[in-house]
Amino acid sequence: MKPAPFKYVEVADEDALAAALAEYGDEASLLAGGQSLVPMMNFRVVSPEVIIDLNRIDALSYIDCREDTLRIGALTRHAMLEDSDALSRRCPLLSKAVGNVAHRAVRNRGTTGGTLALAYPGAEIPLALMTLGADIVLRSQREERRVGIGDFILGSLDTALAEDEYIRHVEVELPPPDSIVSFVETSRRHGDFAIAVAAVVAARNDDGQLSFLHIGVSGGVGAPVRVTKLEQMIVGSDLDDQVIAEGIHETISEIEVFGDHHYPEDFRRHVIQGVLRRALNEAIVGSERRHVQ
Amino acid sequence: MFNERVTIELKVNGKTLSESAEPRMLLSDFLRHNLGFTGVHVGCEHGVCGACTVLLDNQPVRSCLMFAVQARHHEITTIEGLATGNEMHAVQSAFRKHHGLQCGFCTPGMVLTAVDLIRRVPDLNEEDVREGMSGNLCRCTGYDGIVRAVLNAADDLKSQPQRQVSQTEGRS
Repeated sequence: MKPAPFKYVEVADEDALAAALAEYGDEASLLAGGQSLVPMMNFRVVSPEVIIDLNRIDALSYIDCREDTLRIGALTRHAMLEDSDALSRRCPLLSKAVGNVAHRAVRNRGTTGGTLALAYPGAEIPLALMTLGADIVLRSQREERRVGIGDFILGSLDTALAEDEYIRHVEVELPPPDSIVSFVETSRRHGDFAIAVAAVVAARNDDGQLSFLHIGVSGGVGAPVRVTKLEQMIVGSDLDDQVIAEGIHETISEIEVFGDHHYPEDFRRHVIQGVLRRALNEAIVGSERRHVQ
Repeated sequence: MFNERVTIELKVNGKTLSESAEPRMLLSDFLRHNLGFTGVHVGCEHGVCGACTVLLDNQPVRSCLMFAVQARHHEITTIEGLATGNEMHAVQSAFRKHHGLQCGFCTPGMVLTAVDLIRRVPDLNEEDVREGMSGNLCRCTGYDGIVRAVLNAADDLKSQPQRQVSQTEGRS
């Protein structure tokens, strides 16, 4: 038995969750899948005084894929995303991303809300949602509010969640149906956190021109980033290789990266550049091929 | 408030068992120490090695990353619940026949992970098996035998699919 003692509070519905957070907020941790929280408790990196277990709130576990909007409940397990046909048809970026998350036994427990609330820099699902431009819906007894993911993840392990708030669901405006996606990750071991990942969603208009491009990267020290400047540069460039190469170079120099005891800074930048180039190439060439067909 | 004990009633291998423990008691320790399911092997205790894998409602999970209180509403299958009397599950037999174990420490987690993989992925090839089993570590590095055992078990179960269903349901 490794974790320090805590008071265990199990809640059965959202109102009870909001009430428990209002009562214990500053000393409590929310327990969803527990695939990061429990190891941290086992190591006693964290020792919350109160654990609020929300695993019985079935109403927070769903994938609702409409024509142009996707909603994912905060308690949706990664394995549900992995197994969802609707998702692989309409939002394949998330399907690809989730396949890179740890291993099946972890994906059976880990949740969308949990990985967002932790905001670990090497986590795959936050990057995919950042690339897609998701909104996060937060709720407390005070209010319900919607925050763009760029304003939600503030940095490494840092989010805009207030002490009495929980994540209710995420909402994604779906990319065009014929988009091509790529998700390229480099990690030390299979299933490990990424050293660097790049995610791209690309689509072309009827004339074959690149008309939709979202690019996200992570591998720095902070939040995953959506690189809108690079998107605009490439969409307007007639896909000039030189422009793309310069754009990638410039993008990487603007990402905050530190060296640490695992890898020096230049190595990290080198890996980010590699995954970004491969992901862009895969999606842009893929979308060209789809257009020709 | 702290150190309070709660009664934890769990359904393990089809049988309902009850013991009291603190809420911080990990499911892995509860199964081993309180309920005596010593086939639940505890390795790294932070979700990396896969030795403590059990089936929770027929899905593999790390029992070291759950608190025992959380398992109250679920059915758990440990390695002890896989055989039917003296007849081993097809995956267990294949591990024995194809040298899928050396010291045996990783074996319960490997077997339960394989049971789920075979059920979930039709027509497994070697790459699927290596990927599907990659969350379980074997410090004897006996992976070739493990992969061979899983592939053979998948073939065996395909030729007698009705056994797979009945044997993976919890039993006492």
